[in-house]
Amino acid sequence: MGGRLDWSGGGLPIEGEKAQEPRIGSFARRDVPTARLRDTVGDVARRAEGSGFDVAVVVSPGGVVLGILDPKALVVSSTARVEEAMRPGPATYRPDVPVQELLEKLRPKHLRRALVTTPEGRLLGVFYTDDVPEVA
Amino acid sequence: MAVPRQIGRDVVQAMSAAGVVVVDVLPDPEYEEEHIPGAIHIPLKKLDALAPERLAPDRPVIVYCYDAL
Repeated sequence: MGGRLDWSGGGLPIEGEKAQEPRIGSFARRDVPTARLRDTVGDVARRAEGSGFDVAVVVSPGGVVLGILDPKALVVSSTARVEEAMRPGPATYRPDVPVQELLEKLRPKHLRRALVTTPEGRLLGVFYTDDVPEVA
Repeated sequence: MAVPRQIGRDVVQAMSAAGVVVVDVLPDPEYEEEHIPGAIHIPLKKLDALAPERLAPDRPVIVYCYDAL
């Protein structure tokens, strides 16, 4: 095990003065559509329709993130394989990252989502900046 | 004498639930900010001095720092 970093990064509970600080893991949407490399993009796009997500995450059989199909790639009529259409190696964040810290990284780049994974790279969900309530 | 070995999060959870003592050896401020639930605190610099009085020599112990266990 990689110490406390690995423990909290795995989304496990912690105690202490900063334990109540909002973390991205608690905001991550867990039911994001997933795809395999050999899937057809059209099939994935049809699954993603109506799911409330604008992306599908490409994972290995063990659930490790391999890539992402963004809105432009999710074309229902496409017969391409996922491995040809995905953006490989997207940035991922651990669930214990403070919400404010990630917002400060994403917003200047006009990014509105980030993948959340375990330290081993297994998909946990997708964090959307829009899901964070604005603080007056 | 027992040999230290690395273990995963799932093993830590199971052993902790079974009553195995978990020891955080990070400095005071870091322990106060965050620690594994139920972990006792013995800073690394005081480990040799405090371990005999706070830990049972015949019981397994899980020890962790920031990025290793």
